[in-house]
Amino acid sequence: MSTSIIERSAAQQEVAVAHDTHDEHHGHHIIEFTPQQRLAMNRLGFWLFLISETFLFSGILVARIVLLRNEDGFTRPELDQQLGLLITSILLLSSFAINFGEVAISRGDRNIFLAAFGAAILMGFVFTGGVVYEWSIAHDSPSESIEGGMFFFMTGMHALHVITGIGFLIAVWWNGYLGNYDENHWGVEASALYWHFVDVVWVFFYVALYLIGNVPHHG
Amino acid sequence: MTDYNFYQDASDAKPKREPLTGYALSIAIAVALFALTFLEYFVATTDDLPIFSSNLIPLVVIALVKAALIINYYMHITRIWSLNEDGH
Amino acid sequence: MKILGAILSLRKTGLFGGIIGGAIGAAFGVFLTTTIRSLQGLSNEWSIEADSPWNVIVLVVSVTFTLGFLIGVGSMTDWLKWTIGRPGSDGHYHPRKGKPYWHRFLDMDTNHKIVGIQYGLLGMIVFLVGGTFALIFRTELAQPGLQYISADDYNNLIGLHGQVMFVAVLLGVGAMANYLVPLMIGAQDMAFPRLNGFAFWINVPAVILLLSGLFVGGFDTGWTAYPPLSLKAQLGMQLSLSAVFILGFSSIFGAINLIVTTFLMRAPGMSLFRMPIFVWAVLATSLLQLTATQFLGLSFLMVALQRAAGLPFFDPVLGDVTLYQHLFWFYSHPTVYIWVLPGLGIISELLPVFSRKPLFGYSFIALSSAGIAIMGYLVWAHHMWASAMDPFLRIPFMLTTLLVAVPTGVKFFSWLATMWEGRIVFATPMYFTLGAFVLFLLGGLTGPPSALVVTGLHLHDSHFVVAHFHITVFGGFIFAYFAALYYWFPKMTGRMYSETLGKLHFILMFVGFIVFALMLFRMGLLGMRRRIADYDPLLGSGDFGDLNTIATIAAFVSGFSVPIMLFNFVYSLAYGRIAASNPWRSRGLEWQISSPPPELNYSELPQIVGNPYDYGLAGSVYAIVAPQDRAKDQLDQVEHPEIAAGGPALPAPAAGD
Repeated sequence: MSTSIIERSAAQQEVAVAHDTHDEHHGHHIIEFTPQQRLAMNRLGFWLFLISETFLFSGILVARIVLLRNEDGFTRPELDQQLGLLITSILLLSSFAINFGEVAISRGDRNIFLAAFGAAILMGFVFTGGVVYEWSIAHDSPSESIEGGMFFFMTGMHALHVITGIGFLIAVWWNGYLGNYDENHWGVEASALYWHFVDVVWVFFYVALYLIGNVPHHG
Repeated sequence: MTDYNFYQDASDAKPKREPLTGYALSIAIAVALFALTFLEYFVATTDDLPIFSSNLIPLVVIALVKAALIINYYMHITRIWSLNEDGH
Repeated sequence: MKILGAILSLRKTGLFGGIIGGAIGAAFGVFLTTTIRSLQGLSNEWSIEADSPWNVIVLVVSVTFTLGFLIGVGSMTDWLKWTIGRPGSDGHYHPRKGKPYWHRFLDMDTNHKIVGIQYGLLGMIVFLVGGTFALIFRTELAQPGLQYISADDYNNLIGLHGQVMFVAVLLGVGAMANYLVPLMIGAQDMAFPRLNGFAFWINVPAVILLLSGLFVGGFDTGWTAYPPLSLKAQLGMQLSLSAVFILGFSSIFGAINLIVTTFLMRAPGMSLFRMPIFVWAVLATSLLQLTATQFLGLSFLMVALQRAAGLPFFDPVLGDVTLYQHLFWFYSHPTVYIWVLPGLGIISELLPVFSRKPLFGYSFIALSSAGIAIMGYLVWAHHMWASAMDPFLRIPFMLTTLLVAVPTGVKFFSWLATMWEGRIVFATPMYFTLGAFVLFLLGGLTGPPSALVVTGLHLHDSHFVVAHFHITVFGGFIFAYFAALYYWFPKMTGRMYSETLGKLHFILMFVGFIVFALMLFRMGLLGMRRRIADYDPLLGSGDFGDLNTIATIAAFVSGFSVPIMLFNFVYSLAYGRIAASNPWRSRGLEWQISSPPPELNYSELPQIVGNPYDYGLAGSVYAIVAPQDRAKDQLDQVEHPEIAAGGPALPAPAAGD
């Protein structure tokens, strides 16, 4: 069947019929990719997406570097250090759980996979809860100081990605529960990539928000 | 130089390297990441560092090392280059 | 009766479902946000002023509307099924009873050729809207004083003209890239066909959001949306910011698709340096789109959040106004390369065909695209000579800007050498290619005066810069795009367009546009400011009134040549001659198969055995296309059965032969 974007006229009909009969013998032959090739395409595509996202978060870091400084050097929002270390550790632990689960599914240990991903999803919720708690006790208001504004913006953008990641992980967990993954488990790999990426972003955001610079003294 | 394309890829000929995956590696990397995180916290909260006058440089370096560990061992970035073989 | 039936059948299309889904999504968004705000004790009072509570509501509604639209159109059906663990469709087109074929263009479709044509159709609609805006405010400028529209309307129209045209050009790039790249590299489709259809359909709700801004006060900042002005603009600003942000997803997903397709799915034998130049250009463009788009999204998001939640990023006291300009231009300078690189690729593609000579300096042209893309990242601050940027930064950015001339010059000299002593065939696509060549050259030559700090400060915000920008985009994109439309029209439709009307279109458009641009250059040099609705006719050399009148007339001549093209295409689609499958005797892969190409392009992968542009070299072969895929009406097939494509150049065909 040849593509025609208009209704065919009588003159074209002849040509088209010739093609149609000819297509029955040869045409519409889909050149299938091997599962490995499909996987390679998915990987490259997903990594390109992550590279694109990297530019987004680099832009945010640039904004942080430009905006959060005074005559003494970098400034930072006033935050609870122990809480920051705690939620950072939880996110790191969830990343470990994800990797553990990915190893499990590639070995066919479906129950370990489900347990590890389930734990990671829970830790994702705990992390999000920690951020929300931090928002509620934040020292700076989002609109009255640039430190506050940047803190809410950076944690908010990151939390948005965490929540997206949780949704992704839940879908993958459910598909794993249904038994849809065998040696072909691109979904698991993709969700793991995304979750690790969100973790890498937090590696830098943690430093940028909690660790470098000094808390400015507002009058 | 091999072309990065399904139909010109010569990586099939390459002997398959035994991938360093497994539960043990996963745990080892996690331990390293936690150690670096606590080191970061220590560097940031200690006022007089012995070597660096500012904690900016060590913090950025540690963060880069952490990111590199995750990207290499948890995200397996090198799998992008295995086109016609299974990278698992 | 037939027409009525066709209209009634529209209710079965994806577009209709999308509109319903979008309406539901928007209603849900309004309900959700207003309810939550009421519970928090916040006001939901309707107002279109800058501090309106609807700044928040509009942000949420933009997202829910877009999601509702995308679900309603059916572009996420497979993904949603996979999420809950059900198998999706097979991703291929299957005719259904009671659904006419043309519904494919209004449905979610995964075939790259359909998606490409969808991009082209939507792009043309958006282009006409943007052009109409331009003609309206150009009419206002024809005489000093305000005759037809108010100053506020003028400001809204110039801002929307900019953003709407911005979208139109990106859609045009998407049309060419999606339609041509898989055909040119010998692939059956894109790497991610569902993502491809999805990426197209994002554009539709985004365009609707962008244009609806006009009804809630518009925005009077110009297309650049600089704060603090954009913080004080009306609610239309918020809609435009979210529309452009959403549009960014389309750019990014499209770019991912094109990069993966280009890298991994080239036919056997097609090494990087045997790719058609257009594919090189699309690759460079896609890499820019993939990365730089995030900065535009970020800068617009930050403005939107400051409007909605008061985060003080661009507050003159707490934040940094100049930061916006850096983030904005870090995307928006590369974006002009996103537009022109495919256009320049088209010029490189068409010149050898119509000169019947090999392309001169293939690898230099190919690499110069990459060079322009890389340089594109390093020049953004040349838009900011007159900003609060540290003056120290002016010199490095001026030097990098001037360096862009090197890869661009490589292209120009290669094109000249390609045409040199060629047997040039003057068909409509060649006219447009030569027009693009001339205009882009003029655009390039007026670049250095704008880029040098000494002259740039004088020319900043003048009509000179406006003319420089427009002549570059017309040369680098619009003319090349029209050349591509005429050139591939017989391939896309199997019909031949009217050569007479095509040439008429070219002459009106070219003459009209070049007169327009020259008037603007002169006015700008003499000090005519941009973005002002009224001007003193006695400024400059005392003839601003006359210059503006001529410019307006010329703009109308140029603008009204476009309907000629549309009439030509629509008429030829219905009544045109049946075209030969390779009317231009091109060596390109896509010309070796029948017109329009079959659903899956090639049933077997073509083998690439030579260089793509060796026109006129005896015995040279580019590709071997499987016999069952080859069009039946090819002359060279009869004469050289062993040569699938290319071979000695045949006598130059008369246009349309």
